Order: sequence, then C-alpha cells, then structure tokens
Amino acid sequence: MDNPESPRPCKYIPTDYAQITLTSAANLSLDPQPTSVVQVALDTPLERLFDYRIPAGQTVTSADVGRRVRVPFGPHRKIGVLVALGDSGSVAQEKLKMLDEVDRALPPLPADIMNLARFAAGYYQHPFGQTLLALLPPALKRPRFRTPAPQACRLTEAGRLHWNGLPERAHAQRRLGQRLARGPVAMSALGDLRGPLREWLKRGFAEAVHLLPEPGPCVSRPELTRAQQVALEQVMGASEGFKAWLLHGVTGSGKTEVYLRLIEETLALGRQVLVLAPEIHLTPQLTERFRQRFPERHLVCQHSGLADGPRLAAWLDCAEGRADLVLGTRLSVFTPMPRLGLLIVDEEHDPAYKQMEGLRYHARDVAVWRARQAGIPILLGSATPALESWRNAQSGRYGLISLPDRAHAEATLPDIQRVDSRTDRPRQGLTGTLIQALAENLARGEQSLVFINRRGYAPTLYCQQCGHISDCPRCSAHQVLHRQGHGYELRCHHCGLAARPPQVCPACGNPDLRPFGQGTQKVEEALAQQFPSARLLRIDRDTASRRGAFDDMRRRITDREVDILIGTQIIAKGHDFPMLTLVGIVGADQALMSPDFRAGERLFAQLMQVAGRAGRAAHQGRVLIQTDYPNHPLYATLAAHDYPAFAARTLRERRDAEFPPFTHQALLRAESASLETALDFLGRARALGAPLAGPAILYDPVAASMARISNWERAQLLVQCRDRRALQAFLATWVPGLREITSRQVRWHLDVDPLEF
Amino acid sequence: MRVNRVEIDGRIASHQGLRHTPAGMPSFQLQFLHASMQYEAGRERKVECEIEALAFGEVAANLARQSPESNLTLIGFLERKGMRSSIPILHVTEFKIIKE
Repeated sequence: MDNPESPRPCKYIPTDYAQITLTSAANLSLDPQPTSVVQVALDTPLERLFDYRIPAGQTVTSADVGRRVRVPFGPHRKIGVLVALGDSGSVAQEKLKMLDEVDRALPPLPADIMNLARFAAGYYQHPFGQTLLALLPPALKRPRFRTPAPQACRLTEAGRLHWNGLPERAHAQRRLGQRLARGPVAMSALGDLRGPLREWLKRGFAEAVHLLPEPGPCVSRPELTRAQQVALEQVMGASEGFKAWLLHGVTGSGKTEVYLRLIEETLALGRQVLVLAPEIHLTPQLTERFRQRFPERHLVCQHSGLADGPRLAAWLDCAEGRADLVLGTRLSVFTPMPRLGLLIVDEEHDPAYKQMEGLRYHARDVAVWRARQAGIPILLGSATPALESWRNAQSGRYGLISLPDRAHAEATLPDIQRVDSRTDRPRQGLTGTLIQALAENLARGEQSLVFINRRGYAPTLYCQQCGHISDCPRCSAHQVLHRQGHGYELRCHHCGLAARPPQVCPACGNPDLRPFGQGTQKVEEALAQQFPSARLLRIDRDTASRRGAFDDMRRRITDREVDILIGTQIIAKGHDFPMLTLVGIVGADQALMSPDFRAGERLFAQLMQVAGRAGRAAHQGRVLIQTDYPNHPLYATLAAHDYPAFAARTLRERRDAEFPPFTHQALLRAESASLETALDFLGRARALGAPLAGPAILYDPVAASMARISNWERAQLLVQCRDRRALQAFLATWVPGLREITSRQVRWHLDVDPLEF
Repeated sequence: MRVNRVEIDGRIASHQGLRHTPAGMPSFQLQFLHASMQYEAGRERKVECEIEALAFGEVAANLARQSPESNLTLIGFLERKGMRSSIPILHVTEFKIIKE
C-alpha cells in the first residue's frame, strides 16, 4: 500500500493527500512488512514530511504508522508522528538520520484521525505536521516517552507475597499493602503512599488498572414534550449513516433533553458519543447533567483547563475506547474515539468554536466532516443557528428540527421590551425604567441580571477640556480603565499592557481626566450606590478567570446568595438560573455600528441568549433593552422571538452584498513593523495569485480594522469566491508560492472561513 | 495673551465632596457664594453672585476641610467647563482664609 515507487520531491504535500497512502494498524496488522526508512510528520512550519532511517536491530512495520517517534532534528530532539513507511525520495537514503525510538507504550493515532488531520491541514492550508502534532495532548509532545502515570492500581500476586514478608519497621509499605489488599485504589486517594507505590509499580508488586467512576444515583427522565418527541422520532427514524441535523430550539425548549435521549440510544448500541460545548465554563453544568443521567457510564471531560496529567488520562480513555461519553471544548473534535456513534455540537453558532491561531479550524465544520467520514449522525443545536447552518437546513442539506416552545409547561418566553434611552436618559448607564424594574424585582426577592458586554470600569479615559483619549502606545485601540484595589489602572485589552493613569492630560495638561462610558465595574458601582442593601455579583473575565471561581459563583447564584448579577457574555451562555426573572441589557447599540458584517448576527445571538436567562422555570421573565434605536429591525425581531424572520432578512442582505454564506472567503493577514512592508507583501501575493485565481476574486490589500497590535502593523487581503471548491483549488496552488515570496520582515497566515476581519 | 487671574471673596455654598481623579489626585468642585459692595460708574453698589469653582491636588484637599461658615479668598484662573461648553469655571490655584 505504501508508495515508494513513485519518489518525487515532496517539498509541499500535494493537496490531494490521498496520494500519500494512509496505512493504519487496523487494516495492515495481518501483513506487517518491515521497512528501513519511514516518513515522519514534525511540528515545523515546513510543508513536508521528513525521512528517517530505522536503527539496526529495530523493526518498524505498518502497524507502527500513527505512533509517536523521537527523532533528531537539527541540534534538538523532536517528537513526531510516523506517517508512512518507505522514503519520499527527497534525500538520498545514506544521508538520512536515524530515528531514536518508536513509542509503543501508547496506541497509534488511528487512521480516521490521521485522515481528519489531513483534511484540516488541507482545508485550512496549515502544514500537516503542525496540524497532526497540534491535536496531541500536551503531555505527548514532550521529547521523553513515559508510560502515562496510572490513574489507579491494584495488588499483584507478587505484591501480596512481598507484603506478607515485610518486616515490622516498613510502616509505609505495610500500610500500602493494607490499602491495596482491599481492592483497586485511585492514585488520588493514596496521598503520601504514592512514593512507595511508584517503587512497587516498578518492581511489579502493583499494576495499573482503570477505575470506572462509582455510579451515583440515577435521575429519572422527564416526560418529553410533543416537540421533543417529534424531534427524536425524526432523528431516530432516519436511515443509518451520516446525516447532519440542525436542532433549532428556543432558549429553555429542552434541547439538552433531546441530546440526552439520543445519547442514551447511542450508548445502548455500545457506541461512543462526543459532545462539543463552546465554553469551558459550560462544561461543568453539562457534565453534571450527563453524569446524573448516565451514572453507570464512563464520562470524560476534555478542555484546556485540565492539567497535563488528567488531560492525557482523559485522552487515553477516549482513544482506547474506555470512555463512553466525551464532553469537551473545540479541541476535542480531534480526539480519537474508536466506537464513535454520534456527534453533538451544542450552541453551534458560537464563535468560540473557531480557533484564532495556529490551525485556524472551525470545530463545528470539522465535526461535520468527521461525522461524514465516520458515517454517523451529527446534531447541531442552537437557539440562534449560524446563518451558514440555517441556510444548509433551508436548502435541505441538513435536516431541520424545531422546538418552538419552552419545555416547562408554565414557562413562557420572556417579555422583551425596548427602553428608549433618548427620552429616558441613562444615569451612569442605567435608565430610570431599568432602575425601577430592578427595585421591584429586589422587593419581590427575585434575581436580576444586568448585561453589559464590556469588562473594566470605563472603556476610555477622556479629557473633558481637549477631548484627548488615552490610547495604547502599542496598539490602535483605546486603553480601558480598570478599578484596581483602591485605585485605577489603564489596560490594553489587545496587548495586555498595563499602565497607571496619567496625572494630567498628556495633550493639554488638564488634571481632570474622566472615565467615559460604562464597563461592568462602573455599573456594579452605580448599582451599589442605588441599592446599598442588595447583594451584587460581577461576573466577567477578570473575576472568573481563576480556576474554580466560576463554579463558586454559579453556586452562589443558585443558592440565592445574589440579588443582582452584573455580567458580560461569559454569563450569557447556557446557564440555568431558575430564580432569575429580570434581564437588563446595557450598551448593546454599539454592535449596530460595527463595520463587521457578522456583528448583527452575533448581537442577535448574544441578546437572545442573555434574554433566555430570564424566567426559565415557573416565573415569567422580563427583558429590558436600553437603546437609542428602539425601532431597529434587529430589536423588533428579537422582541418577537422570531429568529427565522431575522435570519431571512439577514440572509437577503448577505446575498445582495455577496457575503457568506453565499460566498466563501479566505483572508491573508500580514503583520510587519511597518504598514508599507505588510502591504507590499500582500501586493506581491496578489500579483502572484491573480493569474491563478480563476473565479476567485482577490481584493486590494488594506490595513486591518485593528491596524496595529503590539507594535505590529497589520494588513489583510480578502479572497472571495462563490464556489468553495474553486476557492480551495486556488488556495492550494497559491499558498505554496506565498512561502517563496515571504521575507523576514513579514509574518503572515491564511485564515480560511474567517470570522473576524 | 497671558493674563487670566481671578481673585474673589466668599464662602462655600455647596460642594460635591472630595473626589479623586483616576490617577489618584484629589479634586474638589464647589459652588462659591460671593456678596460685597463694589464701585461702578462712580457709585457704590451691591454685588451678589454664585460661581462654580474647581480645585486639584493639595489645594483641593485643603479646601475640602474648610467649614461652610469661613470666609475665603479664592485665587485662580478661568477655563471653560468642558470641550463643548463656553461657560467658564474658576480653577482655584490658591486660597486664603479671611480673618474677621
């Protein structure tokens, strides 16, 4: 199956990756053919594989494809993945270096994951080696192979003999023996006995085992609503194999219950389920529900907040097929799962699914591709689907399932009202109407949320005399004023630079510099003045970044230790707070002014989500949107809870303007110390691409809307095409050439299907 | 143009309390009540007015400690209230307590 007879200079991996034949342990283990040279993918920006010779005395067969290898690379050792047997012919065999070692302690990456990496590398125009290595957990990228630390262990027969023969004085070992004699023990439960245990493991007195979590009490299943019933019948009635479903359900309509039922069905068939959630903060709540419903199943969480050890353990549980149900953020879309039977992407519209650096993939899109390859169903759920997904559902490519009502019989959708802030002038950001409503809610003992999507105290520090605004010296952005202890601090939200506020205006010398506009801290301060006895809680990235802080806040809210919440979008996503009945929205208008064509879509989704926090159980919710534009159609469709109308109107606009999803885009971004250099590179890139472009349109290079970040001047070149395949074909011929014209002064990357401009 | 100096007696009618700029500099904004006899067109006449005044730094902190009863002489300059305003406000750079 390997293809050594067509050696050709493999400088760039051709887009047709199928030419590099994929071998897997699964389909070749019957006929392992030893080889003397292998091709290894490494984490380098070079678009190629590297050939290595096998040291004498070692045998490498096709069963080793997908395994990790350690190889010499320049002066260092690097970890790579063995991708193919036989040489690529790029370097004469006798000049090749030897590889050090093949890691056989861990299972090889399975063929489907290698294929997924190939697809992602090709589609997103990212070097294959970097892509492949990026999807390994961090612990597996260290240049020393180590057998992963066991999660639990038990006594062996040899251990029992050793224990029985221990002298009196070996206290620690005797205690260890006693513990292990009672049955397998989790490492975390052993405390100070872990030292002697390591010794026992080495000497074979104990061995690693996998402990399944203790089953907890099972929570009974709620009755399905009619709509949920229909939704389930639709999915389960479909023929086997790949099918993408868009589950559009209003907030509180019980999408999760539909997931749970489908998961139950899939698990019963002995298959694994992968559930993606956009935010790390959302995983605990979902995990809790899943664990309660499937107490006897092995549930694994995967997100970047985990320490390396547990993350590796979770990854191995998935890859070795022990985990039944995997819940994770975008990176888990690449997790090997040999029995995968169902994929679910919750809040599929969320921009957090798009990776913004390195391999700029969209986890939802990769998930759809993976489901197609695996021949399994995928369910995309949202109250406000991405317009891309909505259009796919409208055109019949995805099946559309709707949950139009709230699941609780008594629960109705919140009453969304617009407060005209031109007549009801806000004081410190809050209109009289909102203050009044908050006071009433407080008197009733119900919880309220004030949503403002700006953290910090005030977005600008402003000189009233000359109009000067404090800007970041390194970025084209205003510095944001933050409360810091008893004083203030100016921070740049782009480069992180922090500075003390200036004593006087640098432009005119006036000391009277004033905070201008509202951030979460200022709204919190205003509310504290207005309602001195109310218990306030502010939730934004500044207060929730500490590990565990968010869970603690969630507990305080559900335990009713909080009267008024002040929060950014961090609080908006998916959390259930049954006592929350009022939501005030402050400062939403700003997104209406954005030049980004997706700003409206994002605003609608965000506000719908925030509004959805109100009145989820038996209480009627009320939402107040403070706006200078109460008649804006976006707010009108929002007040009517009419996503389909919003989507229809926005899609019409997109079609007229030839924006996605009616066209496909790729953005070439360049950064340099000077804007001219960046623009010059893009100009050459455009000249290079123009003759190859076919139906694709290459626009003029322009400065980015954030023209400077950390002293890097940024420019961009937009490529657009109606036909995704034509765009992909063009990118594949264009990008290798870009590597030729690049210079040291410029760094650049290509973003396929960019979400931000 | 160089000269911009105001000197006026009176007492503090009201104030917003001692505040601080984001950089931590004290600031004190007050309404200053003035009443006196002045000469105009060869005759003595009664004058009564209230003006807005503002002080920063040490002066602000010291002003904030004055009781509303004490008679003060404020010395300073005029500056418009804000970028979009043409109304002047007195910036106090020093003051004296008037002994009876």
